[in-house]
Amino acid sequence: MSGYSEVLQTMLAMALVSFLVMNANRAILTNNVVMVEGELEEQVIAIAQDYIDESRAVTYDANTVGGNVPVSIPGGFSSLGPGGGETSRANFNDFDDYHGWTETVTASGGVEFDVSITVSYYDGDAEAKTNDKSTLKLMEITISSDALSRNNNVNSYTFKFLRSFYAD
Amino acid sequence: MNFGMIVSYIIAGMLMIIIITIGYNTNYSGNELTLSENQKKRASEVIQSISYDLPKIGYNLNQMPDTMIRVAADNYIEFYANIDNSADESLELVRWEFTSDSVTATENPNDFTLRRTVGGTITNMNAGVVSFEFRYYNELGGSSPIATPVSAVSSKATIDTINQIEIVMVTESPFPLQYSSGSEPKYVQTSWTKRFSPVNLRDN
Repeated sequence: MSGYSEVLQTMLAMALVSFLVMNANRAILTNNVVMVEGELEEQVIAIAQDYIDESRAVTYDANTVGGNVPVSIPGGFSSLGPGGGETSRANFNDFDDYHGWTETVTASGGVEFDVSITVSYYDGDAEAKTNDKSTLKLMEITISSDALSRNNNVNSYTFKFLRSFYAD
Repeated sequence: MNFGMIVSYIIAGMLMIIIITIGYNTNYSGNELTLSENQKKRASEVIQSISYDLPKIGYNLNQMPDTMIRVAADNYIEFYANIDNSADESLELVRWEFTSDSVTATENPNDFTLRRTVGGTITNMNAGVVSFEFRYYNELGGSSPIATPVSAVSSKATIDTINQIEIVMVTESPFPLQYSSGSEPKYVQTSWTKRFSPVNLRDN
Protein backbone atom coordinates (compact mmCIF):
# COMPACT_ATOMS: atom_id res chain seq x y z
CA MET A 1 0.00 0.00 0.00
CA SER A 2 2.94 2.27 0.74
CA GLY A 3 3.73 2.40 -3.01
CA TYR A 4 0.28 3.73 -3.77
CA SER A 5 -0.18 6.14 -0.91
CA GLU A 6 1.22 8.95 -3.08
CA VAL A 7 -1.28 8.07 -5.78
CA LEU A 8 -4.10 8.29 -3.27
CA GLN A 9 -2.83 11.64 -2.10
CA THR A 10 -2.61 12.84 -5.69
CA MET A 11 -6.16 11.65 -6.32
CA LEU A 12 -7.25 13.74 -3.37
CA ALA A 13 -5.37 16.68 -4.80
CA MET A 14 -7.15 16.12 -8.12
CA ALA A 15 -10.50 16.26 -6.36
CA LEU A 16 -9.47 19.57 -4.82
CA VAL A 17 -8.29 20.90 -8.16
CA SER A 18 -11.57 19.82 -9.75
CA PHE A 19 -13.34 21.92 -7.16
CA LEU A 20 -11.04 24.82 -8.05
CA VAL A 21 -11.72 24.34 -11.75
CA MET A 22 -15.47 24.37 -11.21
CA ASN A 23 -15.27 27.56 -9.18
CA ALA A 24 -13.06 29.22 -11.76
CA ASN A 25 -15.45 28.21 -14.53
CA ARG A 26 -18.32 29.61 -12.51
CA ALA A 27 -16.45 32.91 -12.15
CA ILE A 28 -15.75 33.07 -15.88
CA LEU A 29 -19.36 32.24 -16.67
CA THR A 30 -20.57 34.94 -14.28
CA ASN A 31 -18.25 37.46 -15.94
CA ASN A 32 -19.61 36.56 -19.35
CA VAL A 33 -23.22 36.74 -18.17
CA VAL A 34 -22.61 40.17 -16.62
CA MET A 35 -21.01 41.38 -19.84
CA VAL A 36 -23.78 40.12 -22.13
CA GLU A 37 -26.61 41.14 -19.79
CA GLY A 38 -25.13 44.61 -19.43
CA GLU A 39 -25.06 45.01 -23.19
CA LEU A 40 -28.62 43.72 -23.60
CA GLU A 41 -29.97 45.79 -20.73
CA GLU A 42 -28.57 48.94 -22.32
CA GLN A 43 -30.47 48.00 -25.45
CA VAL A 44 -33.63 47.38 -23.40
CA ILE A 45 -33.35 50.89 -21.95
CA ALA A 46 -32.79 52.39 -25.40
CA ILE A 47 -35.88 50.61 -26.78
CA ALA A 48 -38.02 51.83 -23.87
CA GLN A 49 -36.74 55.38 -24.42
CA ASP A 50 -37.61 55.08 -28.11
CA TYR A 51 -41.26 54.47 -27.26
CA ILE A 52 -41.31 57.15 -24.57
CA ASP A 53 -39.78 59.72 -26.94
CA GLU A 54 -42.15 58.72 -29.69
CA SER A 55 -45.24 58.89 -27.48
CA ARG A 56 -44.20 62.35 -26.29
CA ALA A 57 -44.10 63.50 -29.90
CA VAL A 58 -47.85 62.94 -30.31
CA THR A 59 -50.63 64.77 -28.52
CA TYR A 60 -51.96 63.91 -25.08
CA ASP A 61 -55.35 62.74 -26.23
CA ALA A 62 -57.32 61.95 -29.36
CA ASN A 63 -59.51 64.96 -28.57
CA THR A 64 -56.53 67.33 -28.42
CA VAL A 65 -55.17 66.45 -31.86
CA GLY A 66 -54.61 69.51 -34.01
CA GLY A 67 -54.54 71.86 -31.04
CA ASN A 68 -58.15 71.24 -30.03
CA VAL A 69 -59.08 71.39 -26.37
CA PRO A 70 -62.19 69.66 -25.03
CA VAL A 71 -64.74 71.88 -23.30
CA SER A 72 -64.68 69.63 -20.27
CA ILE A 73 -61.32 68.60 -18.80
CA PRO A 74 -60.72 65.79 -18.03
CA GLY A 75 -64.25 64.55 -18.80
CA GLY A 76 -63.85 65.37 -22.48
CA PHE A 77 -60.86 63.14 -22.98
CA SER A 78 -61.24 59.99 -25.03
CA SER A 79 -61.28 56.35 -24.01
CA LEU A 80 -57.90 54.64 -23.90
CA GLY A 81 -56.58 52.78 -26.90
CA PRO A 82 -56.13 53.38 -30.60
CA GLY A 83 -58.98 54.80 -32.61
CA GLY A 84 -60.42 53.42 -35.83
CA GLY A 85 -57.79 52.86 -38.52
CA GLU A 86 -54.92 53.33 -36.07
CA THR A 87 -53.37 49.93 -36.56
CA SER A 88 -49.68 50.83 -36.71
CA ARG A 89 -47.36 53.25 -34.97
CA ALA A 90 -47.26 55.34 -38.11
CA ASN A 91 -50.99 56.03 -37.63
CA PHE A 92 -50.81 56.81 -33.92
CA ASN A 93 -51.57 60.42 -33.21
CA ASP A 94 -52.09 60.52 -29.47
CA PHE A 95 -50.48 59.16 -26.34
CA ASP A 96 -52.95 56.44 -25.43
CA ASP A 97 -52.96 54.95 -28.92
CA TYR A 98 -50.04 52.91 -27.60
CA HIS A 99 -52.35 51.18 -25.11
CA GLY A 100 -52.33 47.46 -25.86
CA TRP A 101 -49.51 47.73 -28.37
CA THR A 102 -47.27 44.67 -28.66
CA GLU A 103 -44.32 44.24 -30.94
CA THR A 104 -41.16 42.19 -31.35
CA VAL A 105 -38.16 44.45 -31.90
CA THR A 106 -35.02 43.00 -33.44
CA ALA A 107 -31.96 44.89 -32.25
CA SER A 108 -28.50 44.91 -33.74
CA GLY A 109 -26.98 41.48 -33.37
CA GLY A 110 -30.31 39.81 -34.11
CA VAL A 111 -31.52 39.71 -30.51
CA GLU A 112 -35.30 39.90 -30.28
CA PHE A 113 -37.09 41.88 -27.60
CA ASP A 114 -40.81 41.50 -26.91
CA VAL A 115 -42.42 44.83 -26.14
CA SER A 116 -45.86 45.35 -24.66
CA ILE A 117 -47.34 48.69 -23.65
CA THR A 118 -50.26 49.71 -21.51
CA VAL A 119 -51.55 53.22 -20.92
CA SER A 120 -53.89 54.14 -18.10
CA TYR A 121 -55.28 57.25 -16.52
CA TYR A 122 -53.49 58.19 -13.31
CA ASP A 123 -54.75 59.81 -10.15
CA GLY A 124 -52.04 62.18 -8.95
CA ASP A 125 -53.52 62.59 -5.47
CA ALA A 126 -53.92 58.90 -4.82
CA GLU A 127 -50.71 58.16 -6.72
CA ALA A 128 -52.38 55.20 -8.39
CA LYS A 129 -53.90 54.17 -11.67
CA THR A 130 -57.54 55.00 -12.06
CA ASN A 131 -60.40 54.11 -14.36
CA ASP A 132 -61.62 57.70 -14.27
CA LYS A 133 -60.38 60.18 -16.84
CA SER A 134 -57.70 62.53 -15.59
CA THR A 135 -55.06 64.95 -16.79
CA LEU A 136 -52.33 62.39 -16.18
CA LYS A 137 -51.67 59.25 -18.18
CA LEU A 138 -49.26 56.52 -17.18
CA MET A 139 -47.46 54.50 -19.82
CA GLU A 140 -45.96 51.18 -18.75
CA ILE A 141 -43.57 49.53 -21.16
CA THR A 142 -42.66 45.91 -20.49
CA ILE A 143 -39.73 44.44 -22.38
CA SER A 144 -38.53 40.87 -22.24
CA SER A 145 -36.22 38.68 -24.23
CA ASP A 146 -35.32 35.03 -24.30
CA ALA A 147 -31.70 36.17 -24.39
CA LEU A 148 -32.19 37.65 -20.94
CA SER A 149 -33.78 34.58 -19.43
CA ARG A 150 -32.14 32.57 -16.69
CA ASN A 151 -33.01 29.00 -15.78
CA ASN A 152 -35.91 29.22 -18.25
CA ASN A 153 -37.33 32.19 -16.35
CA VAL A 154 -37.77 35.13 -18.70
CA ASN A 155 -36.65 38.40 -17.13
CA SER A 156 -38.89 41.30 -17.94
CA TYR A 157 -38.17 44.97 -17.46
CA THR A 158 -40.90 47.52 -16.89
CA PHE A 159 -40.48 51.24 -17.51
CA LYS A 160 -43.02 53.85 -16.51
CA PHE A 161 -43.61 57.26 -17.98
CA LEU A 162 -46.13 59.71 -16.59
CA ARG A 163 -47.43 62.36 -18.93
CA SER A 164 -49.38 65.42 -17.93
CA PHE A 165 -51.89 67.17 -20.18
CA TYR A 166 -50.76 70.52 -18.80
CA ALA A 167 -47.11 69.88 -19.61
CA ASP A 168 -47.82 69.71 -23.33
CA MET B 1 12.09 5.98 -7.08
CA ASN B 2 9.06 3.72 -7.03
CA PHE B 3 6.25 3.59 -9.55
CA GLY B 4 3.76 5.41 -7.31
CA MET B 5 6.13 8.34 -6.92
CA ILE B 6 6.60 8.61 -10.69
CA VAL B 7 2.86 8.61 -11.33
CA SER B 8 2.41 11.18 -8.58
CA TYR B 9 4.95 13.51 -10.18
CA ILE B 10 3.28 13.19 -13.56
CA ILE B 11 -0.16 13.90 -12.13
CA ALA B 12 1.19 16.73 -10.01
CA GLY B 13 2.72 18.27 -13.14
CA MET B 14 -0.61 18.05 -14.93
CA LEU B 15 -2.34 19.61 -11.98
CA MET B 16 0.12 22.48 -11.97
CA ILE B 17 -0.55 23.10 -15.65
CA ILE B 18 -4.30 23.03 -15.00
CA ILE B 19 -4.02 25.47 -12.11
CA ILE B 20 -1.89 27.87 -14.13
CA THR B 21 -4.31 27.69 -17.07
CA ILE B 22 -7.29 28.29 -14.80
CA GLY B 23 -5.61 31.30 -13.25
CA TYR B 24 -4.82 32.68 -16.69
CA ASN B 25 -8.35 32.12 -18.01
CA THR B 26 -9.96 33.68 -14.97
CA ASN B 27 -7.63 36.64 -15.21
CA TYR B 28 -8.35 37.04 -18.94
CA SER B 29 -12.09 36.92 -18.33
CA GLY B 30 -11.77 39.51 -15.58
CA ASN B 31 -9.76 41.77 -17.87
CA GLU B 32 -12.36 41.37 -20.60
CA LEU B 33 -15.14 42.36 -18.22
CA THR B 34 -13.21 45.36 -16.90
CA LEU B 35 -12.40 46.52 -20.42
CA SER B 36 -16.03 46.09 -21.45
CA GLU B 37 -17.29 48.14 -18.52
CA ASN B 38 -14.70 50.86 -19.22
CA GLN B 39 -15.73 50.93 -22.85
CA LYS B 40 -19.40 51.30 -21.93
CA LYS B 41 -18.45 54.25 -19.77
CA ARG B 42 -16.54 55.86 -22.65
CA ALA B 43 -19.47 55.27 -24.98
CA SER B 44 -21.90 56.73 -22.44
CA GLU B 45 -20.18 60.12 -22.80
CA VAL B 46 -21.13 60.16 -26.47
CA ILE B 47 -24.61 58.83 -25.70
CA GLN B 48 -25.24 61.55 -23.12
CA SER B 49 -24.05 64.32 -25.43
CA ILE B 50 -26.09 63.21 -28.39
CA SER B 51 -29.12 62.51 -26.20
CA TYR B 52 -28.83 66.12 -25.02
CA ASP B 53 -28.62 67.62 -28.50
CA LEU B 54 -30.94 65.68 -30.79
CA PRO B 55 -34.21 66.10 -28.86
CA LYS B 56 -33.63 69.88 -29.07
CA ILE B 57 -33.78 70.04 -32.86
CA GLY B 58 -35.68 73.20 -33.77
CA TYR B 59 -35.90 74.38 -30.18
CA ASN B 60 -36.33 78.07 -29.45
CA LEU B 61 -38.01 80.04 -26.74
CA ASN B 62 -40.98 81.35 -28.70
CA GLN B 63 -40.92 80.37 -32.33
CA MET B 64 -39.52 77.34 -34.09
CA PRO B 65 -37.27 78.01 -37.09
CA ASP B 66 -38.66 77.38 -40.54
CA THR B 67 -35.76 75.07 -41.35
CA MET B 68 -34.95 72.73 -38.48
CA ILE B 69 -32.72 70.13 -40.14
CA ARG B 70 -30.31 71.63 -42.66
CA VAL B 71 -28.60 68.48 -43.90
CA ALA B 72 -29.36 64.85 -43.16
CA ALA B 73 -26.67 62.41 -44.24
CA ASP B 74 -25.78 58.96 -43.03
CA ASN B 75 -22.53 60.12 -41.44
CA TYR B 76 -23.54 63.60 -40.34
CA ILE B 77 -26.47 65.80 -39.47
CA GLU B 78 -26.81 69.57 -39.29
CA PHE B 79 -29.71 71.18 -37.51
CA TYR B 80 -30.72 74.47 -35.95
CA ALA B 81 -31.60 74.96 -32.29
CA ASN B 82 -31.25 77.56 -29.60
CA ILE B 83 -29.09 75.01 -27.87
CA ASP B 84 -27.67 77.45 -25.30
CA ASN B 85 -31.18 78.70 -24.49
CA SER B 86 -30.06 82.28 -25.06
CA ALA B 87 -32.59 85.00 -24.31
CA ASP B 88 -31.96 86.71 -27.66
CA GLU B 89 -33.30 83.55 -29.34
CA SER B 90 -30.29 83.26 -31.61
CA LEU B 91 -30.08 79.88 -33.30
CA GLU B 92 -26.95 77.77 -33.37
CA LEU B 93 -26.08 75.44 -36.19
CA VAL B 94 -25.32 72.08 -34.58
CA ARG B 95 -23.41 69.46 -36.55
CA TRP B 96 -22.68 65.89 -35.54
CA GLU B 97 -20.26 64.13 -37.84
CA PHE B 98 -18.59 60.76 -37.85
CA THR B 99 -15.32 61.77 -39.45
CA SER B 100 -12.73 59.73 -41.27
CA ASP B 101 -10.03 61.06 -38.91
CA SER B 102 -8.40 58.06 -37.30
CA VAL B 103 -7.73 58.39 -33.59
CA THR B 104 -3.99 58.16 -33.13
CA ALA B 105 -3.98 58.27 -29.34
CA THR B 106 -5.21 54.69 -29.08
CA GLU B 107 -3.73 51.39 -30.20
CA ASN B 108 -6.98 50.57 -31.98
CA PRO B 109 -6.67 51.25 -35.73
CA ASN B 110 -10.44 51.05 -36.26
CA ASP B 111 -11.69 54.00 -34.21
CA PHE B 112 -12.46 57.41 -35.67
CA THR B 113 -13.25 60.83 -34.30
CA LEU B 114 -16.85 61.80 -33.68
CA ARG B 115 -17.13 65.57 -34.01
CA ARG B 116 -19.71 67.87 -32.47
CA THR B 117 -19.73 71.42 -33.78
CA VAL B 118 -21.96 74.04 -32.18
CA GLY B 119 -21.86 77.52 -33.65
CA GLY B 120 -18.34 76.91 -34.96
CA THR B 121 -17.01 75.49 -31.70
CA ILE B 122 -15.60 72.03 -32.32
CA THR B 123 -15.54 69.22 -29.80
CA ASN B 124 -13.82 66.02 -30.86
CA MET B 125 -14.92 62.84 -29.16
CA ASN B 126 -12.46 60.01 -29.18
CA ALA B 127 -14.52 57.38 -27.45
CA GLY B 128 -13.52 54.44 -29.60
CA VAL B 129 -16.31 54.85 -32.15
CA VAL B 130 -15.70 52.42 -35.01
CA SER B 131 -19.08 52.72 -36.69
CA PHE B 132 -21.71 55.44 -36.50
CA GLU B 133 -24.71 55.83 -38.75
CA PHE B 134 -27.69 58.17 -38.88
CA ARG B 135 -30.97 56.87 -40.29
CA TYR B 136 -33.96 59.10 -40.91
CA TYR B 137 -37.62 58.10 -40.94
CA ASN B 138 -40.68 59.96 -42.10
CA GLU B 139 -43.18 57.92 -40.09
CA LEU B 140 -43.23 56.90 -36.45
CA GLY B 141 -41.94 53.37 -36.04
CA GLY B 142 -41.12 53.18 -39.74
CA SER B 143 -38.83 50.44 -40.95
CA SER B 144 -37.53 52.04 -44.15
CA PRO B 145 -35.20 54.99 -43.73
CA ILE B 146 -35.32 57.73 -46.33
CA ALA B 147 -32.54 57.98 -48.89
CA THR B 148 -29.67 60.23 -47.87
CA PRO B 149 -28.08 62.74 -48.11
CA VAL B 150 -30.92 65.25 -48.04
CA SER B 151 -30.40 68.98 -47.88
CA ALA B 152 -32.90 71.64 -46.92
CA VAL B 153 -31.50 73.82 -49.67
CA SER B 154 -32.41 71.45 -52.50
CA SER B 155 -35.02 69.14 -50.93
CA LYS B 156 -36.78 71.04 -48.17
CA ALA B 157 -40.05 69.20 -48.67
CA THR B 158 -38.30 65.86 -48.16
CA ILE B 159 -36.23 66.92 -45.19
CA ASP B 160 -39.30 68.38 -43.53
CA THR B 161 -40.94 64.95 -43.53
CA ILE B 162 -38.34 63.54 -41.13
CA ASN B 163 -39.80 62.88 -37.70
CA GLN B 164 -37.50 60.20 -36.33
CA ILE B 165 -33.73 59.88 -36.32
CA GLU B 166 -32.03 56.61 -35.50
CA ILE B 167 -28.41 56.22 -34.50
CA VAL B 168 -26.53 52.95 -34.76
CA MET B 169 -23.18 53.12 -33.03
CA VAL B 170 -20.46 50.56 -32.39
CA THR B 171 -17.49 51.30 -30.18
CA GLU B 172 -14.33 49.37 -29.39
CA SER B 173 -11.83 49.43 -26.57
CA PRO B 174 -8.68 51.54 -27.02
CA PHE B 175 -6.33 48.58 -26.68
CA PRO B 176 -6.75 44.89 -27.43
CA LEU B 177 -6.81 41.78 -25.36
CA GLN B 178 -4.68 38.94 -26.57
CA TYR B 179 -5.21 35.46 -25.21
CA SER B 180 -1.82 34.21 -26.27
CA SER B 181 1.06 35.40 -28.41
CA GLY B 182 -0.24 33.36 -31.34
CA SER B 183 -3.84 34.56 -31.19
CA GLU B 184 -5.41 37.57 -32.90
CA PRO B 185 -5.70 40.71 -30.78
CA LYS B 186 -9.32 41.26 -29.82
CA TYR B 187 -10.93 44.64 -29.16
CA VAL B 188 -13.88 44.58 -26.79
CA GLN B 189 -16.94 45.88 -28.60
CA THR B 190 -20.16 47.53 -27.45
CA SER B 191 -23.08 48.59 -29.61
CA TRP B 192 -25.92 51.07 -29.10
CA THR B 193 -29.00 51.76 -31.17
CA LYS B 194 -31.43 54.53 -30.37
CA ARG B 195 -34.26 56.18 -32.26
CA PHE B 196 -35.00 59.77 -31.35
CA SER B 197 -38.37 61.45 -31.88
CA PRO B 198 -37.65 65.16 -31.40
CA VAL B 199 -40.81 66.87 -30.22
CA ASN B 200 -40.44 69.76 -32.67
CA LEU B 201 -40.54 67.35 -35.60
CA ARG B 202 -43.86 65.92 -34.44
CA ASP B 203 -45.90 67.67 -37.12
CA ASN B 204 -43.55 66.68 -39.91
